Amino acid sequence: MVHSINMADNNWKASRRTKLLTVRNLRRTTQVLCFVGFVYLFLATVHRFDTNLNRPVLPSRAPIDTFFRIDPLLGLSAMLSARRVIEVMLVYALPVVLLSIVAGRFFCGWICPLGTAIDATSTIFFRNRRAAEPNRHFANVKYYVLAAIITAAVFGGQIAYFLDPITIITRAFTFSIYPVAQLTGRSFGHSEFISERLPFLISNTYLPNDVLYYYRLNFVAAAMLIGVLGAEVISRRFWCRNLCPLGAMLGVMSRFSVVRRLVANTCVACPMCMPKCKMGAILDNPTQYQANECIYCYNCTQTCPTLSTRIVPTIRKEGYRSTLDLSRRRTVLAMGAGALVAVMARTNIAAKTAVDSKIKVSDAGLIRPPGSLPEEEFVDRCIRCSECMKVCPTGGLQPALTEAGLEGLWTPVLVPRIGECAQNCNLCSQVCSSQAIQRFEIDEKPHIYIGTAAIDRSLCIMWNFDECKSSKRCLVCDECCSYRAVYWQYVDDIKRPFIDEHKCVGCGICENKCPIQPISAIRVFSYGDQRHKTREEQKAFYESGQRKE
Amino acid sequence: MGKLNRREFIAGIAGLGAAFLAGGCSGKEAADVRPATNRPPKFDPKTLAVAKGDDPAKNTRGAINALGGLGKLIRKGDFVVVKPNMAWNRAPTQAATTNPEVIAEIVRLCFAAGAGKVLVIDHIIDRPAETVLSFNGIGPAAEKAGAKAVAAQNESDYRSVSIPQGKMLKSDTCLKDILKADVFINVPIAKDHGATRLTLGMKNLMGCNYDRQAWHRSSSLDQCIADYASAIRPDLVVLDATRILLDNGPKGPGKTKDVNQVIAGVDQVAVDAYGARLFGIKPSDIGYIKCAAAMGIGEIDLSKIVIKSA
Repeated sequence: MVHSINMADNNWKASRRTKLLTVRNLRRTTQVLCFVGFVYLFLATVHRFDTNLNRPVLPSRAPIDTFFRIDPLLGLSAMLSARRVIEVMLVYALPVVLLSIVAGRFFCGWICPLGTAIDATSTIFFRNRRAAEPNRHFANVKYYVLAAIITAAVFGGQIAYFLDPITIITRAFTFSIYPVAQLTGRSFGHSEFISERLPFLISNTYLPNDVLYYYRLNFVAAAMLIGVLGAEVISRRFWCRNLCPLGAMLGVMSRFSVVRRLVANTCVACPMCMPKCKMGAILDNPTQYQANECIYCYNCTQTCPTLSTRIVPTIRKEGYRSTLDLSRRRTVLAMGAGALVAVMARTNIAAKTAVDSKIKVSDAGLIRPPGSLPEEEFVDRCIRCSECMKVCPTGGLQPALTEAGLEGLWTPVLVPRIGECAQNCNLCSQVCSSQAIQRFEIDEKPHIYIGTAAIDRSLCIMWNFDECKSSKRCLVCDECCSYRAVYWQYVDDIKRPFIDEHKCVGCGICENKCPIQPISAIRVFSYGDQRHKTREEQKAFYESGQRKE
Repeated sequence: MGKLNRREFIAGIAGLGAAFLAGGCSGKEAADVRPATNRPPKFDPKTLAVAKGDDPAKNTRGAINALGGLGKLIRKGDFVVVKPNMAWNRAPTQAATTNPEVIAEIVRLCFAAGAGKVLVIDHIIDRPAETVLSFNGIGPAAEKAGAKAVAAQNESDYRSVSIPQGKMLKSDTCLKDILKADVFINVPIAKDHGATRLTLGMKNLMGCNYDRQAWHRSSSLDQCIADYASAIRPDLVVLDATRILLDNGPKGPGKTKDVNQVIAGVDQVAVDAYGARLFGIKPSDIGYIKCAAAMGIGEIDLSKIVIKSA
């Protein structure tokens, strides 16, 4: 075997450089376009009011959650754990599944926004540290992760969100990057020059200026993304090689793919393609590669000095390996772990209706967005993509910490003190891919009960009114209530606020606007939640209210 | 890019920090910039102009012209700020927000009088603010008339002002555009209100302030409103009483009544006193009108006011 060729005599390098129209450049362009599309869809996950339709809309024509719909891992996991077919996820994920059956992990190399972010990080920060060794020591880990996720889903627990690439990057964008960008823009907006001359820099359709977003768990979301990107220091696409469950799933599907890397017999077995392979998929003999690891980046075809390597449609059987070399013991262990997580999450002291629905061990703060499914089904479906929290025009939707128990970590809960559920808005239901938040129209909102407000009379200004000493005036809760649920009555000649439980849907605007600091004197609790009822039943409850206006 | 040495690194960090500070990351200006609007009134303060009729735009024009016309107030190129009551996510017919036709007509009159720029601005309570601005009709109407309609939702849109005459408030915040304006026109709607019984002109100024919750916490909301009105004095108040909200105020929906009047005046107390009478309420029964009259902000006794009808 010849391990080197005479570089000086060959013009191949120079001629390659001048050539722009290569498959690799096409791949790079696609990656950039997909990433730009991803960022656009992220920014377009925003509130806009259509004056012609007189209702809130999203500025994007493409489905705002395209990347979540096409992610087959999220779809499979949500559908398995909820035991329901979620049509949009099925329909959109199908092309990706078919593509993977035909062309393996094409998605990872060309489309995945996290993959693109990893490649960019690698190029910018780790150019000199890229490992030359094809390193696949941990490559099987991702298959065990996948096994655990799917087993958990079978046992009714959704844990795909934790390691799914699309959710990792979206969560980092929503919780960490966007608020920082907004605050930075705002700080420059204080300069008169920008606020007067260049106002679109700080406020436009995609960067609303009327609400500043603050999120819990922003450090966690950022740390996960930084961890994934920083793993480039170990080897290229460390995450995709070793950990990504979506990559594992697509890899499994690539078993019979018909687009393959072929190496002609002009190959001189020089090792040049090996360190260029992002996935370390090329085996010791460069004519052989691991098909379920290949992400079709076309680095090997581009690097090959003898032009022997091609990636083409073929049914030839030689030159690749696509078998998984998994340890049975570890697979069973992973599945057991997945099942255990699913079952233990359910036996955790969760804020959920327990198996016996009479025993409601619910956290007082577990206020779900309107239209949410009953709790069990909600946590089974929710893929924790954070889109509802991004779109919420008041910033009130926050990732759950303890409210929903272990199983409901990072699901959306409304924190009214941060932001109420705005009356003229149904966007969280418009962006929800898994339809854990079911679609509803704005005129249904008076009958969708997400909680009930209660007045804390020990704090309320008007309930502590002492006419001899004070001429305080408040009733802000009554003022701002969108549904006429807070009303006042004279008690001892003083106007005092009351709540009509038939009208209070728990939107939380009263809690948000209450002047009492730091704890509001009127607070929304989850006990008025009526998700377990149908819309008709909720409407009947609304209409059974007795109070006259 | 070359490698950084330590010195360049530190200089870079310092530069970034300086840029951030220069950008005003702190967002606070020195307190007590100046008393807001203490220009001498251009119209006779002892006169109120009242126009009645079916067409709100015509009423607005009539009332303002009966007072003397905006030509007296606005010089060529002036920056005019119009402050409607547009805090709520309610349709114009529900009488929770100022009638858009009144706002549009005022904007047109401003431009006809030579105004360079007209800004329609409020601190909107319901969210999202952009939606509210469209939904209550004021945003589109004002923009169509040529003004800019803005929701001032951020603390950075406000500046501190001192309130020399204030009894409860010694200083507070005010929309920075009002402080910068050459002419400031307050355009409230007359409607029912829980805490203060009625919301009229001076109560509408509460939306020029960033932290209104503080007034509710204070020991007298009425005195706060009066104090604020003593410092933030509009050059003209145009009270929209086209359709007034009789109960469930200030957001409604509630019973409404078509009064079909527009009232223009400079004396804030007199305008509010007239507004209170539309509801059959004695002006002195409204706490903030009484407080304001006691502070000498204006005349509560309508018999001492000339009421011109247009």
